[in-house]
Amino acid sequence: MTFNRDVAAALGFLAFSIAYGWQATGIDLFPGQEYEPFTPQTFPLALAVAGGVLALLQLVKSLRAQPEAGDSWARYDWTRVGLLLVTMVVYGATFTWLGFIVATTLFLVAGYLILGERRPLVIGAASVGVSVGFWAIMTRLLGLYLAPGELFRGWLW
Amino acid sequence: MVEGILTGLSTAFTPMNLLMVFVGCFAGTFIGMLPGLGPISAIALMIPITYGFDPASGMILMAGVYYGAIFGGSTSSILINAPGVAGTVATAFDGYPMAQQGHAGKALAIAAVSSFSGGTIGAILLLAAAPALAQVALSFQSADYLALMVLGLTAVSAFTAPGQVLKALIATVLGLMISTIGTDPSAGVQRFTFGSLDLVDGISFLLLAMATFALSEALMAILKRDETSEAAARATAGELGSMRVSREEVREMVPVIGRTSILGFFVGVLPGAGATIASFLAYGAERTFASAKDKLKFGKGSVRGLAAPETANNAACTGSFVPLLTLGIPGSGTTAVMLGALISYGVQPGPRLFQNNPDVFWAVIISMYLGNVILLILNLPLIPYIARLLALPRQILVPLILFFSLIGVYLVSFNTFDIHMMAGFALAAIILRLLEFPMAPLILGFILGDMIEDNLRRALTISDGSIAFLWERPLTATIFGLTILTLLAPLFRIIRQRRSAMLSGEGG
Repeated sequence: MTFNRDVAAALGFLAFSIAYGWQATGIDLFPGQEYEPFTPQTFPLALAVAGGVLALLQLVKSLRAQPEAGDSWARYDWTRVGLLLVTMVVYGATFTWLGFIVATTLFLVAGYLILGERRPLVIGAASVGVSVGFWAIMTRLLGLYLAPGELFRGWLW
Repeated sequence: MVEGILTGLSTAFTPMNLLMVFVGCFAGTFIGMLPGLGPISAIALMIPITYGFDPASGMILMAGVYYGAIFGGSTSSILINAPGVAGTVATAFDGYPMAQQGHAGKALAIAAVSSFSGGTIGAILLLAAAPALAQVALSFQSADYLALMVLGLTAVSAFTAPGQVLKALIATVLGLMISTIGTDPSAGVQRFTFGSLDLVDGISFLLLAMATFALSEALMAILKRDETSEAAARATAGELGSMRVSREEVREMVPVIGRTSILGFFVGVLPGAGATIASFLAYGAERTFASAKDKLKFGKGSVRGLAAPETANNAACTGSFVPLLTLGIPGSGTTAVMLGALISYGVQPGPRLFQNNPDVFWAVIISMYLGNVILLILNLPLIPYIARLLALPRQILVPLILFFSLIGVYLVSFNTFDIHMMAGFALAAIILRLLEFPMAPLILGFILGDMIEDNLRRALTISDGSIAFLWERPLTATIFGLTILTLLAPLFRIIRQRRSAMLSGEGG
């Protein structure tokens, strides 16, 4: 018996299924609906049971499995991926305030820098060019609205 | 049927739709070539662009992207031995050695001709099979649909990850669970929204597909420090060699194409099987049936070994449209994303598609053929140039892929909360991928979730809460029986292995 990543994954999914099932019992029902053969709770509860059973089977399977020398997660480039994910979240958070062009330009610049691009000309062209070009196609050609930036309201227009 | 074909031809042969096939094939080839990005990402990335289109044009573009992505995957298999798509892994067995011997151009030409022939024969079979099956499907009831969907989900789980069936099933259930978030379609009550207005409409399929495929595949390449794009740049910088295929080689290919296209098509029709299994089966079958002399050539640049998987995977792609178009049930991750696209255009696939939207139904079938022609006559000569695009450094390409994925989803909802959710789902998908949970069953479960619940509700309501509907009709019972067999098959294999291991242990 060994505690490995598969065991952790199975336990995680088991906990998730239990929490999901517990939440499912709290789904609102109309008065009298509990006597009907099918309610908004039925399918989620069935899924919670299926999820729990599968998680238990997976748990048994991974506990009985021979420990394997899996590849170490430490050798992966977590820093860059983490930074890119944070950049995405920041992009989403600043999008309405900074507006499409500024937010996108900053997002792309950050992405290029995180991945190791250092040539200023390339970074500038591939960020400003893409964001302004995309903005022009979307707003001028297709007539779509893209956030102009709350921050600049009253200052620029 | 002739009338239908003419409708399809008149829809597909408008300048706009011809342009769509071309753009689709080109974009698909490019995205399919990118290491790690497969057809699901390619299709998902194109969906936001097609939102304003009419359904026929949108689907025509998607079909082009699908074929293009498979062909792009073959290209990277042949040139750098790094299949962009699982369906083209077998292509690398003989394609890469051939390219190593300096015949990269010829290998690409053989792949293109085989793909073209497989796709064409597949399209002809589809032309015959789809309307017939749609007629039969009109008599299906909710219980049969429910049974078919459950069969589809279990088959995909059983076939996409051999040896990891449990993990695939868990991914399926997770997908189904995610599909229940939002407003319940029948009673209108909120489920799992935790009071958040952003979740009332549920999670959009495009968001989930983009986060679990395009975003997580692009980030996985960074995570694993994948350097294949540099290899691609090097491989395509040089000469590809002549693309001429000799007469003897054509003679060698013809019977292989005939056999494997039919095999591929039928494997593609089966739920869950698809291009990957079709290509391996075809490769294996050709090697088994080859003469002792020919057998030695396999793995060293054999024409048969390259033509077989290439024909089969394209025929299977066409075959996988049969259940999608006639039953409205996708049999693979890729067709699941196609189903999502169709629903977003306001078209409900299923037996009624054939009656209600004949233009879409036939235009898709005709455009598949057209997509193959375009791939052969336009894409093949363009391959060296498309491949040059791969020389774009990864540090530029990845942020652009991230940007297009995020903005594609944002442009549909105009809600920045979606961008945050995508980051969350992408991280979850990366962890699940590292834990070897396949993502295709998850997306399939998510897309089928609403339909499964709807059909389960109807079946249970009709039978007044009794689960007798599972075995009351022979058709339903047969399909459920097949589902159980699919689930038990890996168990039988394990038992047989144990027994043989025990016997050999006793013997030794």
